[in-house]
Amino acid sequence: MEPIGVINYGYGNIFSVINALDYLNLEYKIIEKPDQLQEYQNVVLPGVGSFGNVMRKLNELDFNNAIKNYIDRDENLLLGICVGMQVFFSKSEESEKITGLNLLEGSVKKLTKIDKNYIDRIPNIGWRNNFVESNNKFLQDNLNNKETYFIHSYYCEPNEKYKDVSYIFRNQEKIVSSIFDRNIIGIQFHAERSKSQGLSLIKEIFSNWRNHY
Amino acid sequence: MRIINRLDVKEGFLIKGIQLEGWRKYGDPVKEAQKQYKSGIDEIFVVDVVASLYGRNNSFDLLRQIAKNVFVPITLSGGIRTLEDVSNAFWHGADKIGINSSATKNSEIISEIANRYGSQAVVVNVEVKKINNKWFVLIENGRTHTDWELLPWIEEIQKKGAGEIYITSIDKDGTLKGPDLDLINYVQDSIKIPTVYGGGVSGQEDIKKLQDFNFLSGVSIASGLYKLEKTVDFFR
Repeated sequence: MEPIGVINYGYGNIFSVINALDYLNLEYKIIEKPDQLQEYQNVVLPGVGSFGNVMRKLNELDFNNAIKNYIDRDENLLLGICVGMQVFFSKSEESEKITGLNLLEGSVKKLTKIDKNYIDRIPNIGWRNNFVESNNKFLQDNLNNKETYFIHSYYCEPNEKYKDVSYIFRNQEKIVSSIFDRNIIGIQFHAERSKSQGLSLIKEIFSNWRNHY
Repeated sequence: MRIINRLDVKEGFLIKGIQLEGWRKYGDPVKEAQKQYKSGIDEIFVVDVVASLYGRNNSFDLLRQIAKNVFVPITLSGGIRTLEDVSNAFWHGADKIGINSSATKNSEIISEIANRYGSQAVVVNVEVKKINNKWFVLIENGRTHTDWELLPWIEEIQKKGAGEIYITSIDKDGTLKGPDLDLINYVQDSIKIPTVYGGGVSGQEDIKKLQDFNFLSGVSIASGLYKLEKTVDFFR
Protein backbone atom coordinates (compact mmCIF):
# COMPACT_ATOMS: atom_id res chain seq x y z
CA MET A 1 0.00 0.00 0.00
CA GLU A 2 1.10 3.54 -0.72
CA PRO A 3 2.20 5.41 2.42
CA ILE A 4 -0.29 7.62 4.23
CA GLY A 5 0.27 11.31 4.81
CA VAL A 6 -1.12 12.63 8.10
CA ILE A 7 -1.78 16.35 8.07
CA ASN A 8 -0.46 18.06 11.18
CA TYR A 9 -1.91 21.55 11.56
CA GLY A 10 -0.58 22.06 15.07
CA TYR A 11 -2.13 21.60 18.52
CA GLY A 12 -0.33 18.26 18.94
CA ASN A 13 -3.41 16.23 18.26
CA ILE A 14 -2.30 13.63 15.73
CA PHE A 15 -0.83 11.07 18.11
CA SER A 16 -3.83 8.75 18.31
CA VAL A 17 -4.02 8.55 14.52
CA ILE A 18 -0.36 7.77 13.93
CA ASN A 19 -0.41 5.37 16.86
CA ALA A 20 -3.21 3.44 15.15
CA LEU A 21 -1.29 3.44 11.85
CA ASP A 22 1.78 2.14 13.69
CA TYR A 23 -0.25 -0.66 15.18
CA LEU A 24 -1.72 -1.53 11.78
CA ASN A 25 1.77 -1.59 10.30
CA LEU A 26 0.80 1.01 7.72
CA GLU A 27 3.57 3.25 6.52
CA TYR A 28 2.92 6.97 7.11
CA LYS A 29 4.59 10.36 7.21
CA ILE A 30 3.53 13.55 8.89
CA ILE A 31 2.67 16.36 6.49
CA GLU A 32 3.32 19.87 7.70
CA LYS A 33 3.57 21.74 4.39
CA PRO A 34 0.90 21.85 1.69
CA ASP A 35 3.24 21.01 -1.21
CA GLN A 36 4.00 17.65 0.44
CA LEU A 37 0.44 16.56 -0.38
CA GLN A 38 1.35 15.86 -4.00
CA GLU A 39 3.68 13.07 -2.87
CA TYR A 40 0.78 11.03 -1.49
CA GLN A 41 -2.24 9.10 -2.65
CA ASN A 42 -3.55 8.50 0.86
CA VAL A 43 -4.08 11.35 3.31
CA VAL A 44 -5.69 11.69 6.74
CA LEU A 45 -6.99 14.95 8.17
CA PRO A 46 -7.29 14.25 11.91
CA GLY A 47 -9.59 16.24 14.11
CA VAL A 48 -9.48 17.69 17.54
CA GLY A 49 -10.56 21.27 17.80
CA SER A 50 -13.32 23.58 16.77
CA PHE A 51 -14.37 24.08 13.13
CA GLY A 52 -13.15 27.69 13.18
CA ASN A 53 -9.79 26.95 14.72
CA VAL A 54 -9.06 24.05 12.40
CA MET A 55 -9.99 26.14 9.34
CA ARG A 56 -7.96 29.10 10.55
CA LYS A 57 -4.94 26.82 10.95
CA LEU A 58 -5.45 25.19 7.55
CA ASN A 59 -5.77 28.63 5.92
CA GLU A 60 -2.77 29.99 7.78
CA LEU A 61 -0.64 27.07 6.61
CA ASP A 62 -2.02 27.34 3.05
CA PHE A 63 -3.55 23.89 3.07
CA ASN A 64 -6.90 25.02 1.72
CA ASN A 65 -6.14 25.01 -2.03
CA ALA A 66 -3.60 22.23 -1.74
CA ILE A 67 -6.28 19.90 -0.35
CA LYS A 68 -8.63 20.87 -3.20
CA ASN A 69 -5.95 20.16 -5.79
CA TYR A 70 -5.15 16.91 -4.06
CA ILE A 71 -8.68 15.51 -4.31
CA ASP A 72 -9.04 16.68 -7.92
CA ARG A 73 -6.92 13.68 -8.79
CA ASP A 74 -9.20 10.63 -8.72
CA GLU A 75 -6.54 8.22 -7.54
CA ASN A 76 -6.05 10.20 -4.33
CA LEU A 77 -7.98 9.35 -1.17
CA LEU A 78 -8.73 11.80 1.64
CA LEU A 79 -10.03 10.66 5.05
CA GLY A 80 -11.30 13.27 7.52
CA ILE A 81 -11.93 12.30 11.13
CA CYS A 82 -14.37 14.12 13.44
CA VAL A 83 -13.86 17.85 12.89
CA GLY A 84 -11.57 16.77 10.03
CA MET A 85 -14.78 15.53 8.36
CA GLN A 86 -16.80 18.61 9.33
CA VAL A 87 -14.44 21.00 7.55
CA PHE A 88 -15.21 19.17 4.27
CA PHE A 89 -18.42 21.23 4.27
CA SER A 90 -18.65 24.95 3.63
CA LYS A 91 -20.14 26.13 6.89
CA SER A 92 -20.74 25.18 10.50
CA GLU A 93 -22.95 26.58 13.23
CA GLU A 94 -19.88 26.29 15.47
CA SER A 95 -17.98 29.05 13.67
CA GLU A 96 -20.35 30.96 11.45
CA LYS A 97 -17.90 33.53 10.18
CA ILE A 98 -15.45 31.09 8.71
CA THR A 99 -15.78 29.07 5.49
CA GLY A 100 -14.88 25.41 5.34
CA LEU A 101 -13.13 23.53 2.56
CA ASN A 102 -16.39 23.16 0.64
CA LEU A 103 -15.58 19.72 -0.76
CA LEU A 104 -19.02 18.30 0.02
CA GLU A 105 -22.49 19.83 -0.17
CA GLY A 106 -24.35 20.33 3.09
CA SER A 107 -23.58 21.96 6.39
CA VAL A 108 -22.56 21.32 9.98
CA LYS A 109 -25.13 21.89 12.71
CA LYS A 110 -25.25 21.87 16.49
CA LEU A 111 -26.83 18.79 18.03
CA THR A 112 -30.24 19.61 19.46
CA LYS A 113 -30.28 20.01 23.20
CA ILE A 114 -32.16 17.30 25.04
CA ASP A 115 -31.57 16.87 28.74
CA LYS A 116 -33.81 14.03 29.68
CA ASN A 117 -31.45 11.18 28.98
CA TYR A 118 -27.69 10.92 29.03
CA ILE A 119 -27.57 9.40 25.61
CA ASP A 120 -29.08 12.52 24.07
CA ARG A 121 -26.95 15.07 25.87
CA ILE A 122 -24.36 17.39 24.36
CA PRO A 123 -21.59 16.55 23.70
CA ASN A 124 -22.63 13.21 22.29
CA ILE A 125 -20.06 11.03 24.06
CA GLY A 126 -19.74 7.29 23.99
CA TRP A 127 -20.12 4.13 21.95
CA ARG A 128 -22.91 4.19 19.40
CA ASN A 129 -24.05 1.62 16.91
CA ASN A 130 -23.78 2.60 13.24
CA PHE A 131 -26.23 1.47 10.63
CA VAL A 132 -26.16 1.59 6.87
CA GLU A 133 -29.02 1.81 4.39
CA SER A 134 -26.85 1.89 1.29
CA ASN A 135 -26.28 -1.41 -0.49
CA ASN A 136 -22.62 -0.60 -0.91
CA LYS A 137 -20.79 -3.72 0.17
CA PHE A 138 -17.91 -1.82 1.73
CA LEU A 139 -20.22 0.14 4.03
CA GLN A 140 -22.30 -2.93 4.79
CA ASP A 141 -19.25 -4.97 5.74
CA ASN A 142 -17.29 -2.35 7.64
CA LEU A 143 -19.88 -0.11 9.26
CA ASN A 144 -23.29 -1.67 9.51
CA ASN A 145 -24.04 -2.66 13.09
CA LYS A 146 -20.55 -1.69 14.32
CA GLU A 147 -20.08 0.26 17.54
CA THR A 148 -17.68 3.15 17.40
CA TYR A 149 -16.67 5.95 19.77
CA PHE A 150 -18.26 9.38 19.32
CA ILE A 151 -17.39 12.62 21.02
CA HIS A 152 -18.86 15.70 19.36
CA SER A 153 -21.30 18.57 19.77
CA TYR A 154 -21.82 19.30 16.05
CA TYR A 155 -22.83 16.98 13.24
CA CYS A 156 -22.72 16.97 9.46
CA GLU A 157 -25.91 17.21 7.48
CA PRO A 158 -24.89 16.32 3.93
CA ASN A 159 -27.05 16.92 0.89
CA GLU A 160 -29.44 14.02 0.35
CA LYS A 161 -27.82 13.13 -2.93
CA TYR A 162 -25.06 11.33 -1.01
CA LYS A 163 -26.19 7.74 -0.59
CA ASP A 164 -23.09 6.06 0.81
CA VAL A 165 -23.49 7.21 4.38
CA SER A 166 -23.88 5.57 7.79
CA TYR A 167 -26.02 6.81 10.67
CA ILE A 168 -26.46 6.63 14.39
CA PHE A 169 -29.71 7.27 16.22
CA ARG A 170 -29.99 10.14 18.64
CA ASN A 171 -33.38 10.76 20.20
CA GLN A 172 -34.92 8.78 17.35
CA GLU A 173 -33.34 11.07 14.81
CA LYS A 174 -30.82 9.87 12.28
CA ILE A 175 -27.43 11.55 12.53
CA VAL A 176 -24.89 10.96 9.78
CA SER A 177 -21.85 9.19 11.20
CA SER A 178 -19.83 8.76 8.01
CA ILE A 179 -19.91 9.73 4.36
CA PHE A 180 -18.18 8.11 1.42
CA ASP A 181 -18.16 10.25 -1.71
CA ARG A 182 -15.79 8.80 -4.27
CA ASN A 183 -12.31 9.76 -3.04
CA ILE A 184 -13.53 11.81 -0.07
CA ILE A 185 -14.35 9.97 3.13
CA GLY A 186 -15.48 11.56 6.36
CA ILE A 187 -16.09 9.79 9.65
CA GLN A 188 -17.62 11.59 12.62
CA PHE A 189 -16.45 9.02 15.16
CA HIS A 190 -12.89 8.31 16.26
CA ALA A 191 -12.04 5.09 14.44
CA GLU A 192 -8.51 5.32 15.84
CA ARG A 193 -10.03 4.93 19.33
CA SER A 194 -12.78 2.45 18.45
CA LYS A 195 -11.20 -0.88 19.39
CA SER A 196 -10.55 -3.49 16.71
CA GLN A 197 -13.56 -2.56 14.58
CA GLY A 198 -12.27 1.02 14.28
CA LEU A 199 -8.73 -0.02 13.48
CA SER A 200 -9.88 -2.44 10.83
CA LEU A 201 -12.05 0.26 9.23
CA ILE A 202 -9.02 2.54 8.82
CA LYS A 203 -7.07 -0.23 7.16
CA GLU A 204 -9.97 -1.18 4.90
CA ILE A 205 -10.55 2.40 3.78
CA PHE A 206 -7.04 2.76 2.43
CA SER A 207 -6.63 -0.76 1.12
CA ASN A 208 -10.10 -1.47 -0.22
CA TRP A 209 -12.49 1.45 -0.63
CA ARG A 210 -11.16 2.23 -4.10
CA ASN A 211 -12.67 -1.05 -5.33
CA HIS A 212 -16.14 -0.08 -4.15
CA TYR A 213 -17.08 3.14 -5.88
CA MET B 1 -23.27 2.83 30.39
CA ARG B 2 -19.57 3.13 29.60
CA ILE B 3 -17.19 1.39 31.96
CA ILE B 4 -14.08 3.44 32.51
CA ASN B 5 -10.90 2.19 34.09
CA ARG B 6 -9.41 4.82 36.36
CA LEU B 7 -5.67 4.42 36.80
CA ASP B 8 -4.17 6.43 39.64
CA VAL B 9 -0.48 6.75 39.03
CA LYS B 10 2.43 8.07 41.02
CA GLU B 11 6.01 8.03 39.77
CA GLY B 12 5.28 5.30 37.25
CA PHE B 13 3.38 3.02 39.60
CA LEU B 14 -0.26 2.14 39.67
CA ILE B 15 -1.50 3.03 43.13
CA LYS B 16 -4.75 3.10 45.03
CA GLY B 17 -5.83 4.35 48.41
CA ILE B 18 -9.02 4.48 50.37
CA GLN B 19 -10.85 7.79 50.41
CA LEU B 20 -7.89 9.15 48.45
CA GLU B 21 -5.50 8.35 51.29
CA GLY B 22 -3.10 5.58 52.30
CA TRP B 23 -1.94 4.75 48.81
CA ARG B 24 -0.54 1.33 48.06
CA LYS B 25 1.23 0.20 44.93
CA TYR B 26 -0.58 -2.14 42.55
CA GLY B 27 2.01 -2.74 39.86
CA ASP B 28 2.44 -1.41 36.38
CA PRO B 29 -0.21 0.94 34.91
CA VAL B 30 0.90 0.10 31.36
CA LYS B 31 0.23 -3.61 31.88
CA GLU B 32 -3.02 -2.94 33.68
CA ALA B 33 -4.30 -0.70 30.88
CA GLN B 34 -3.35 -3.34 28.33
CA LYS B 35 -5.13 -6.05 30.29
CA GLN B 36 -8.29 -3.96 30.61
CA TYR B 37 -8.22 -2.96 26.94
CA LYS B 38 -7.94 -6.60 25.90
CA SER B 39 -10.91 -7.50 28.04
CA GLY B 40 -13.07 -4.79 26.47
CA ILE B 41 -12.87 -1.68 28.66
CA ASP B 42 -14.59 1.36 27.08
CA GLU B 43 -12.23 4.08 28.19
CA ILE B 44 -9.17 4.82 30.34
CA PHE B 45 -8.85 7.70 32.80
CA VAL B 46 -5.29 8.30 34.02
CA VAL B 47 -4.81 10.44 37.11
CA ASP B 48 -1.35 11.59 38.10
CA VAL B 49 -2.12 11.93 41.79
CA VAL B 50 0.79 14.10 42.80
CA ALA B 51 1.26 16.24 39.69
CA SER B 52 -0.76 19.22 40.81
CA LEU B 53 0.45 18.99 44.38
CA TYR B 54 4.07 19.33 43.33
CA GLY B 55 3.28 21.73 40.50
CA ARG B 56 4.78 19.57 37.79
CA ASN B 57 3.76 17.15 35.15
CA ASN B 58 5.96 14.19 34.50
CA SER B 59 3.32 11.71 33.54
CA PHE B 60 3.56 12.37 29.78
CA ASP B 61 6.02 9.55 29.08
CA LEU B 62 3.93 7.12 31.06
CA LEU B 63 0.85 8.30 29.18
CA ARG B 64 2.62 7.56 25.90
CA GLN B 65 3.44 4.03 27.10
CA ILE B 66 -0.15 3.43 28.13
CA ALA B 67 -1.58 4.86 24.90
CA LYS B 68 0.71 2.88 22.65
CA ASN B 69 -1.33 -0.31 22.62
CA VAL B 70 -4.71 0.87 23.81
CA PHE B 71 -7.32 1.84 21.22
CA VAL B 72 -10.03 3.34 23.36
CA PRO B 73 -10.20 6.98 24.46
CA ILE B 74 -7.78 8.09 27.13
CA THR B 75 -8.12 11.06 29.46
CA LEU B 76 -5.19 12.49 31.39
CA SER B 77 -5.91 14.33 34.61
CA GLY B 78 -3.48 15.83 37.11
CA GLY B 79 -1.25 18.85 36.84
CA ILE B 80 -2.74 20.37 33.68
CA ARG B 81 -2.39 24.12 34.03
CA THR B 82 -1.75 25.66 30.62
CA LEU B 83 -2.68 25.21 26.96
CA GLU B 84 0.86 23.97 26.47
CA ASP B 85 0.23 21.18 29.00
CA VAL B 86 -2.92 20.31 27.06
CA SER B 87 -1.08 20.20 23.76
CA ASN B 88 1.61 18.05 25.33
CA ALA B 89 -0.95 15.67 26.76
CA PHE B 90 -2.57 15.23 23.34
CA TRP B 91 0.78 14.67 21.76
CA HIS B 92 1.54 11.93 24.28
CA GLY B 93 -1.70 10.09 23.67
CA ALA B 94 -4.56 11.78 25.53
CA ASP B 95 -7.88 12.32 23.74
CA LYS B 96 -9.37 14.36 26.55
CA ILE B 97 -8.03 16.43 29.40
CA GLY B 98 -9.19 16.20 32.99
CA ILE B 99 -8.80 19.31 35.09
CA ASN B 100 -9.51 19.99 38.71
CA SER B 101 -7.07 22.06 40.82
CA SER B 102 -6.16 24.60 38.15
CA ALA B 103 -9.83 25.15 37.29
CA THR B 104 -10.83 25.84 40.89
CA LYS B 105 -8.16 28.53 40.99
CA ASN B 106 -9.13 30.03 37.65
CA SER B 107 -12.12 28.60 35.86
CA GLU B 108 -11.21 30.50 32.66
CA ILE B 109 -8.87 27.60 31.78
CA ILE B 110 -11.98 25.54 30.98
CA SER B 111 -13.07 28.08 28.34
CA GLU B 112 -9.55 28.41 26.96
CA ILE B 113 -9.25 24.68 26.35
CA ALA B 114 -12.82 24.44 25.05
CA ASN B 115 -12.28 27.30 22.61
CA ARG B 116 -9.23 25.71 21.10
CA TYR B 117 -10.06 22.02 21.21
CA GLY B 118 -13.84 22.03 21.62
CA SER B 119 -15.86 21.37 24.78
CA GLN B 120 -15.69 17.65 24.25
CA ALA B 121 -11.96 17.73 25.07
CA VAL B 122 -12.49 19.14 28.57
CA VAL B 123 -13.50 16.87 31.41
CA VAL B 124 -13.78 18.49 34.81
CA ASN B 125 -12.67 16.10 37.49
CA VAL B 126 -14.81 16.91 40.51
CA GLU B 127 -13.84 15.35 43.83
CA VAL B 128 -16.39 15.91 46.54
CA LYS B 129 -16.75 15.32 50.24
CA LYS B 130 -19.57 15.93 52.65
CA ILE B 131 -18.47 18.22 55.46
CA ASN B 132 -20.99 19.30 58.11
CA ASN B 133 -23.81 18.22 55.86
CA LYS B 134 -22.61 20.28 52.88
CA TRP B 135 -20.90 18.99 49.78
CA PHE B 136 -17.53 20.63 49.11
CA VAL B 137 -15.11 20.39 46.22
CA LEU B 138 -11.62 19.20 47.12
CA ILE B 139 -8.46 19.35 45.03
CA GLU B 140 -5.03 17.73 44.87
CA ASN B 141 -6.66 14.35 45.30
CA GLY B 142 -8.52 15.19 48.42
CA ARG B 143 -5.65 16.86 50.21
CA THR B 144 -6.77 20.42 49.88
CA HIS B 145 -10.14 21.97 50.56
CA THR B 146 -11.62 24.73 48.44
CA ASP B 147 -14.35 27.24 49.16
CA TRP B 148 -16.44 25.88 46.31
CA GLU B 149 -19.65 24.19 47.30
CA LEU B 150 -20.68 21.50 44.86
CA LEU B 151 -23.75 22.97 43.17
CA PRO B 152 -22.32 26.44 42.45
CA TRP B 153 -19.19 24.74 41.11
CA ILE B 154 -21.23 22.47 38.83
CA GLU B 155 -23.00 25.56 37.52
CA GLU B 156 -19.73 27.41 37.01
CA ILE B 157 -17.99 24.67 35.05
CA GLN B 158 -20.97 24.16 32.76
CA LYS B 159 -21.11 27.90 32.13
CA LYS B 160 -17.42 27.86 31.19
CA GLY B 161 -17.99 25.18 28.60
CA ALA B 162 -16.92 21.87 30.14
CA GLY B 163 -17.86 18.90 28.00
CA GLU B 164 -18.11 16.27 30.68
CA ILE B 165 -18.11 15.91 34.46
CA TYR B 166 -16.22 13.14 36.20
CA ILE B 167 -17.48 13.12 39.74
CA THR B 168 -15.83 11.17 42.55
CA SER B 169 -17.23 10.64 46.01
CA ILE B 170 -14.21 10.83 48.29
CA ASP B 171 -16.10 9.11 51.09
CA LYS B 172 -16.71 6.09 48.87
CA ASP B 173 -13.41 6.10 46.95
CA GLY B 174 -11.52 2.83 47.31
CA THR B 175 -14.01 1.40 49.81
CA LEU B 176 -15.72 -1.04 47.41
CA LYS B 177 -18.85 -0.37 49.47
CA GLY B 178 -21.20 0.73 46.71
CA PRO B 179 -21.86 4.06 45.00
CA ASP B 180 -22.74 7.25 46.82
CA LEU B 181 -26.45 7.43 45.99
CA ASP B 182 -26.86 10.35 48.34
CA LEU B 183 -24.42 12.39 46.25
CA ILE B 184 -25.87 11.27 42.93
CA ASN B 185 -29.38 12.20 44.01
CA TYR B 186 -28.12 15.55 45.20
CA VAL B 187 -26.48 16.55 41.90
CA GLN B 188 -28.69 14.91 39.31
CA ASP B 189 -30.93 17.88 38.57
CA SER B 190 -28.04 20.35 38.32
CA ILE B 191 -25.98 18.57 35.68
CA LYS B 192 -26.87 19.04 32.03
CA ILE B 193 -23.78 17.53 30.40
CA PRO B 194 -22.59 13.92 30.22
CA THR B 195 -21.45 12.65 33.60
CA VAL B 196 -19.29 9.82 34.85
CA TYR B 197 -19.54 8.66 38.46
CA GLY B 198 -16.75 7.05 40.47
CA GLY B 199 -16.39 5.80 44.04
CA GLY B 200 -17.17 2.51 45.76
CA VAL B 201 -18.22 0.50 42.69
CA SER B 202 -17.41 -3.18 43.20
CA GLY B 203 -19.73 -5.27 41.05
CA GLN B 204 -22.74 -5.65 38.75
CA GLU B 205 -25.19 -4.80 41.52
CA ASP B 206 -23.59 -1.37 41.88
CA ILE B 207 -23.75 -0.76 38.15
CA LYS B 208 -27.45 -1.67 38.18
CA LYS B 209 -28.05 0.94 40.87
CA LEU B 210 -26.28 3.57 38.76
CA GLN B 211 -28.26 2.68 35.65
CA ASP B 212 -31.36 3.93 37.40
CA PHE B 213 -29.96 7.43 37.01
CA ASN B 214 -30.30 8.17 33.34
CA PHE B 215 -28.11 11.28 33.49
CA LEU B 216 -25.06 9.09 34.09
CA SER B 217 -23.26 8.08 30.92
CA GLY B 218 -20.37 6.23 32.49
CA VAL B 219 -19.02 4.60 35.61
CA SER B 220 -15.43 4.82 36.77
CA ILE B 221 -13.86 1.78 38.36
CA ALA B 222 -10.40 1.58 39.94
CA SER B 223 -10.19 -0.63 43.06
CA GLY B 224 -12.99 -2.79 41.71
CA LEU B 225 -10.71 -3.70 38.82
CA TYR B 226 -7.15 -3.76 40.03
CA LYS B 227 -7.47 -4.26 43.75
CA LEU B 228 -9.92 -7.11 43.19
CA GLU B 229 -7.89 -8.28 40.17
CA LYS B 230 -10.95 -8.29 37.93
CA THR B 231 -11.51 -7.37 34.31
CA VAL B 232 -14.41 -5.46 32.83
CA ASP B 233 -16.45 -8.63 32.07
CA PHE B 234 -17.04 -8.99 35.80
CA PHE B 235 -19.05 -5.76 35.74
CA ARG B 236 -21.10 -6.24 32.57
